[in-house]
Amino acid sequence: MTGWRLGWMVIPEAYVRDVEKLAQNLTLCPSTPAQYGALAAFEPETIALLESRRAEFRRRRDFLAPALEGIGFRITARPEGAFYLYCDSSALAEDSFTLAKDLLEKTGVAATPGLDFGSNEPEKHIRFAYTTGVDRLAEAVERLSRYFGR
Amino acid sequence: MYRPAARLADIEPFHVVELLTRARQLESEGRDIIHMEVGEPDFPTPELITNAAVNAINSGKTKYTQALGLPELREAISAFYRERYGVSVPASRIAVTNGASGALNLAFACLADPGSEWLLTDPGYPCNRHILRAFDGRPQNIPVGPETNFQPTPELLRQHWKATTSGLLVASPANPTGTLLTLAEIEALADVCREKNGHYPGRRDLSRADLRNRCTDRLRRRRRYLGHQQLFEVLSDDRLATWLDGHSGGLRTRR
Repeated sequence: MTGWRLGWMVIPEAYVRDVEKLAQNLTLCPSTPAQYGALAAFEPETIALLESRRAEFRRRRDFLAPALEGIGFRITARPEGAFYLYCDSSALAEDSFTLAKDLLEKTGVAATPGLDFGSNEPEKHIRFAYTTGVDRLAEAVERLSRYFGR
Repeated sequence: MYRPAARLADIEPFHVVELLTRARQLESEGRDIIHMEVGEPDFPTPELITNAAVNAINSGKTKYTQALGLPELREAISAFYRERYGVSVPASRIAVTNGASGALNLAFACLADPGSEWLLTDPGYPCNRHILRAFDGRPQNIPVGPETNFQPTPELLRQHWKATTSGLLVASPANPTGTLLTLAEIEALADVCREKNGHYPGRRDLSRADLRNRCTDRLRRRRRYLGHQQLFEVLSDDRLATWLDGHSGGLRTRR
């Protein structure tokens, strides 16, 4: 529910009044319908559903990480949260931005090059998000394997 | 005359948009594109939530709320901390925000003096440093890599902390790596911040169930030891749902 634009912050007691002043001036308030929707996010039924989605993310990660390593990407970070794998692609390509473009053109797999995440060796890294079902992830792995001749 | 503020030179667009645009073009030509560049969950909003929002709209609940959010929602979040984590966070300390990014805007507007320097990891989520820059703070990169699981350590913190440094921003899970900080690691970083009298905003977009008890301890301990609590906890990302969803638990297994 990313497009609802809703989150929250826990404020240190001493700063509550300051943050309130800022919120009054900067945003007035968060979207009202979104807030009423969010009330239902804490219902046990919703939480159970979200737990099952979390389990699905784990399943996807456990499928994708070894599959990408099998192709030659190196996963040097331990991905224990979120829904992406930050891979060292330097054994496969010199520059990950060019690699991302090539992968898109030649395999139809879209991934995010390191360039968007800073200046610490971005050209050596590429991020694959597992925000699509395992069947599609498997298809992506197959296309990438063919592309790299694995 | 076109004359944007100088800070715009330091705020970059998303480079991946170039790829996205090309991907859409290929799709319009009939190519089958597998989207692994998308940094948001593919699941639809749960129906209970969409129904509640639609009901609110249809019954005219579309006016301003209090600036920090609907009192009943702040209460619900407070109850959630109590029930899930066994910790008491009064509703008065909870601000409902426009996503975690909205919370970070407020946190930096509240804490960052013009020219103040803040430590962030590189690689990291670019918006964190750009939001800081928009409030005239100065991001200072801590380059991180596999040696520290792409997270800052007390050693790195001491090494990069200067007299002009105001604080550290940490993220767990981090973007783009998905790595987490353990309670012990968080405490060790907080110790250095306290020692340096710095601020310590945490961006915990998403959490994990395994962190529950630790999180409880963390909040408790911080209340006990930090007189004025320098910790701003920016929670749940743009998505109340995903917070639980992607991240609250199972993803912990070490690989």
